[in-house]
Amino acid sequence: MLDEYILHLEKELLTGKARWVADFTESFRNRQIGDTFFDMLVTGKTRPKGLFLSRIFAFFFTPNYKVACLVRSVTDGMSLDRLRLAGILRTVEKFMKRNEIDWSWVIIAKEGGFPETLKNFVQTYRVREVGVALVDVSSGDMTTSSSFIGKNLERYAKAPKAK
Amino acid sequence: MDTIERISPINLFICFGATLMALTLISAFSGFLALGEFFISTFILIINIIISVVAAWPIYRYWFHTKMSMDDEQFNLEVGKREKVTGRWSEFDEVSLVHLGRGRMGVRLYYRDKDDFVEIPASDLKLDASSLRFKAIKLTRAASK
Repeated sequence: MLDEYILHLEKELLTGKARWVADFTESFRNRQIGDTFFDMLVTGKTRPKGLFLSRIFAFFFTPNYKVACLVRSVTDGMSLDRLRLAGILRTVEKFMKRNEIDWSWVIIAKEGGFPETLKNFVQTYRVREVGVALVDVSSGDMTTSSSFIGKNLERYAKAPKAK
Repeated sequence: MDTIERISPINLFICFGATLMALTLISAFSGFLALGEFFISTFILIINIIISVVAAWPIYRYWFHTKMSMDDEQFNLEVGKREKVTGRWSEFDEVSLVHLGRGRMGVRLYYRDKDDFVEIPASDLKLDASSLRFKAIKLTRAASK
C-alpha cells in the first residue's frame, strides 16, 4: 500500500495536479541524504518550460525557484518519534542549503495513524520554506505544518481512495 | 538482445505539422512577392498537404524514430539518425524517472565516472517508464556487483 501511494504521488507530481504549483521533472528512488534514506526525491522548478508564448510569460511573471519533494515511508519495524523527525527535517534543511533549493515538501507516509505528539510537532513546525505532511495511507488522514507550503500539501499529497 | 521499436504518432504528426507550416509560410511569402498580398490558393494548400504527408515520414525517421535493444549486460539506443548510444549497465550508478515534456516520460541513467547521462525516451517506445526505471535500477545494481 505504501509503494502504491508513493507511485501515485510520483505520478501526481510529475504529470498530475502538482504541476500547477511547480514543474517537477525528475524523480529518484531510495536516495540517501545525510544519514537518512528517503524512498523518493522529486526535484523541479517553479518556472515551467512550455512552448514559445508560455515560456515568455513564465520568464517575466514566474519566479525561478528550485523545489523538491522528499518522501519517507515508515514501516512496522521502524520507530519514528519527535526527535527522529526533527533530525530528518534538519537533514532536509541542510540538503536545501547545499543544493540551493528554495522550498521543499517533506512527506512522511505510514500505514496507520501517527501518535499525537508527532502530529502536534508537525502542526507547530515553523520553517516557512519546508512544508511537512504526515500521511496515514490506510485511512487517508493527513496532518500538515501550518505554513503556506505545508497547507498546499493537503491538496496534492492526498492518499488515493481505496477501490 | 530484445529490440523495441515503435512509431510515435504524436512525433509523426509534429513532423507533418511543422512541414505544412513551413510550406504554408513559404507559399504565403511567395504569393506576397509575386502578387503583393499574402494569398494561398486551395490548390497550393492541397499540394502543400500532399508534400507534407510525403515528407513527414523521412523527417520523423531522421529526428525522432526511437529504437532500443537491451539485455542484462548492455543496451543500444538510437534516436533518429542523429543519436546513437551504446552503454553497459555497469557504467551507470544512478537512475531517475524524468518528465520530458508534453506528457512524455523517460528514464535517465547517470554515468558512474563522468558528469553526464543518457536519456531513454520510454514513452516514445510505448514502454511504461516507471517499470523501465525499476528494471534499470535492478540491472545497474546487478552489473556493479
